[in-house]
Amino acid sequence: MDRLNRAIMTLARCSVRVVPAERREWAEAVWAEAGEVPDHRRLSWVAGGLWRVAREAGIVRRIAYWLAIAALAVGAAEVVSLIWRGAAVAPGFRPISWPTSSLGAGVYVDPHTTGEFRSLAIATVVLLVALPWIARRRGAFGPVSDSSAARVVRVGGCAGICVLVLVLARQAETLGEDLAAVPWSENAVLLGVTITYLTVIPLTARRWFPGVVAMHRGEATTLREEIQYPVLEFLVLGGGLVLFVALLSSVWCLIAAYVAGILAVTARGSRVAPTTLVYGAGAGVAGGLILYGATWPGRGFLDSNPLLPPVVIVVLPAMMLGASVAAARRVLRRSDPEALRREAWREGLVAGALTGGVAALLITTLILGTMVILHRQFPAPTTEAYFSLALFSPLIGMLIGSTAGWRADATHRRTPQPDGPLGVLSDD
Amino acid sequence: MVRDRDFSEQTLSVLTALRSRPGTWRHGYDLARETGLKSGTLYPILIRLADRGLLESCWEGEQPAGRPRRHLYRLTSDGLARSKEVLIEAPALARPATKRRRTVGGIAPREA
Repeated sequence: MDRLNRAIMTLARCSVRVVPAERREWAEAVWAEAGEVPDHRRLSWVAGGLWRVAREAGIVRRIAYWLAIAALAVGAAEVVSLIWRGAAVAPGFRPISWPTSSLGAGVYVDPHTTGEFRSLAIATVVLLVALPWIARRRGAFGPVSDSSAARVVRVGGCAGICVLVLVLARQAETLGEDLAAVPWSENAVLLGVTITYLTVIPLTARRWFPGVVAMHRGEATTLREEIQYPVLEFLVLGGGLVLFVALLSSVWCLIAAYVAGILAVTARGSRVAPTTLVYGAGAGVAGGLILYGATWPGRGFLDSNPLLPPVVIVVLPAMMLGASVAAARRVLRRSDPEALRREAWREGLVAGALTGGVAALLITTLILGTMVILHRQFPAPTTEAYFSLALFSPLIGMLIGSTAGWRADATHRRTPQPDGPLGVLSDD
Repeated sequence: MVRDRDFSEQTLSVLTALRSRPGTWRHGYDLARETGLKSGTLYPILIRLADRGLLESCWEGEQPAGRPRRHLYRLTSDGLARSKEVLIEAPALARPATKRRRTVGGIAPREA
């Protein structure tokens, strides 16, 4: 133990030199004071002091940044390695029969699969390069909010998506799964539509949405507004339908939507409360793990697994509902009734969507990752089942969450409060 | 202008300790024992107070035998004036942390 203490103390002594010059004096002060501290408390004194001085000097953030860059570099290297080796698929291979098929001598390279996994691999590289750039720009998607919850959700979500794309590329290489049935060119067009919609809508909505609401209330007066707002509404709704079709058709678009969603709710300009992120992401992680446990190999799919229907039909929606109600109730403390209604609805919607999205991302990554890494067979008929879950789970979460937020607001209004008819409490 | 809400309970206890002997140079462990704060809490507070010009610091002049030179702290004139204001405004928060936490990482605090 003494030897360990001495080693840690030596490390701490060396770490003083890493602290930037303007803060080094403080790190040396912590070290100098260590001589006064009794032996059995010296290690915690030095470790605690140096850690906090390092945090004050921004070293921890710098280390985390470089670790993230290193992780991205490893991911990019993995992708380059995949592209270099090419896809190797055993002849007549069917994913459902894994692991009875084997790769080995005389493997057959399927050009179709090669194209698929190469496109996914390129998508990964684009994602890895684009994410840090988008996330640092000012706007609807960045930079990240100051709250710890937003940082954790953003880093965890983006890391999860990168892992998912890598798993997809690996799966296309090793299992020959037919993931991207849509041709390259069509995929690119759908992705362009998705990115345009996801980029333009936040800007448009912030600027024009109040006008559209006013129009529905009959408040729009000028001829220009009476033409402008319906056209805008039509474009937004029509674009939403096109987006839905794109998400339904292309894995790339789905991934782009997930990235946009995670960046938007965790951006500095987002009005979503940090507690909503905690409730939504926490419930999503729990739901994803429960779902994964229920689908573990050998338990069968919906037709033969008694565990799965209650989990899919009851547990996951219940988690969406619970997170949404908790998030909506958390904001029912505002004095402005209109703001209260809007916020309860928004927080519920985001919490529900986050629960559904995180659960779907987790279950898809875990199941496909387990299939690729551990060569275990899961009883889902196709990978598309998981992508359907990834698409519909956040949408169902939005529906449940917005309804829960609206109901929580209505219930709150009906409940007599000691401070007034609307239950006005002091602001946070 | 420093806002009052920037002074946490722990910061106020450090200010109280420093004000108890104004003009005297104090070292970090001495302050830790008096306030009941751990090094990980105490040093960021000292850094922020110094950044705001409320605290001055220096190294001990001569090299003492058998131990390294200490880093010493005391309130500046601005620090004394500001701490007087905030401690009058928030006397309940200014009581030493030792009243709430009896030990400094297991070490019994010195009587204030």
